Amino acid sequence: MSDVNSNVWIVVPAYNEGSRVGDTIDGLCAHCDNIVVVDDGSTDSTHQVALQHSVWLLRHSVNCGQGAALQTGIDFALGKGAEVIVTFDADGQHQAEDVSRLVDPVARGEMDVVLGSRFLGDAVNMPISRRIIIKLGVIFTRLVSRLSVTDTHNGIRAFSRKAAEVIRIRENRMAHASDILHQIRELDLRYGEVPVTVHYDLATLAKGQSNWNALRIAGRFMMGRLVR
Amino acid sequence: MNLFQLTVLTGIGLLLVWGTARLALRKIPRRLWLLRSLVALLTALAVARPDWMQLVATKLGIGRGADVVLYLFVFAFLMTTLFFYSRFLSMEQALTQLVRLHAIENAQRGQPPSENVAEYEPMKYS
Repeated sequence: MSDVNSNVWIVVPAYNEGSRVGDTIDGLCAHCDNIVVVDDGSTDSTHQVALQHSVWLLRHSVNCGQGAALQTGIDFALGKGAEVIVTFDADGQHQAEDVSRLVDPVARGEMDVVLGSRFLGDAVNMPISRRIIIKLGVIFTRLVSRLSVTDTHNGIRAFSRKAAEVIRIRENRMAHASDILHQIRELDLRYGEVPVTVHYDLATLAKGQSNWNALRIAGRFMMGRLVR
Repeated sequence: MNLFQLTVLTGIGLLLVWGTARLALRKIPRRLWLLRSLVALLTALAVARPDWMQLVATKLGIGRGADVVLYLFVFAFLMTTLFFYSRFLSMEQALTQLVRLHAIENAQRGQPPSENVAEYEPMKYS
């Protein structure tokens, strides 16, 4: 049973998420019929778990990075006629109930891109160090991309078809979030933020990005912009 | 002219001839040949006439001719790094596009495991 429009597609990039992707898909299946899981060259059971659900599964033959996986899923969804595309992390940090809140402004034609903000909503068990790093990321985004946002590098967001067609994620790895924000500004897309809830636990923090990696992500994003 | 200068200048001369031959055979673009030839000629000049480099250094307020060469070397290293990083990104994008096309062409539709249905058991006759 879905509570969002049939033209809404959810893209779930997954890398070695065999232990968690099943629960994530179960949560999403209650809200949306069109789910595409992009297995980004996982070496665990991610694809077997995904195939036990009513989802589309795309498999990268080698690990290319989350940004590349998102673009693959978006291309596939566009090919299937998606009008609204939602990106959603596989690790269970996000709540499926938040999807409709992101989709509504796009479906009504008010926004081209809707970004989830954990700082407008709730960040459960978020370590203080992570909070500081993300806040620094927000300042970085405001300075470099001149985009007024309250959150950055949050994996839950919604695109209109028009936005998904014009945004091309050029950063294969984690710098894709900055790349998307930058392109929103460059392409003069209408954007907004809605509150979402993000849950942190030991497992997601262990697998997620280290705080120091934020510097590498920023460096890679800037280098990418310099040489392209 | 000392032995070092003679050796280096001979090497540069051979490189110039080789580059020009490749240009004549249309194996390298003219712009690349021009760039390489310019770098080779400047190097030859710096080796043959170190006093000229000293003159340039004094004019620029750098101090020593060797420092001018060092700065130019660092600049060239940075430019080369950026060039190869750019090439790396292009190749990464090309590989990603291949992987993407393969993934989309081989998309699979998952199915939840069917409900447990009681298996048919043939009636047994005593």
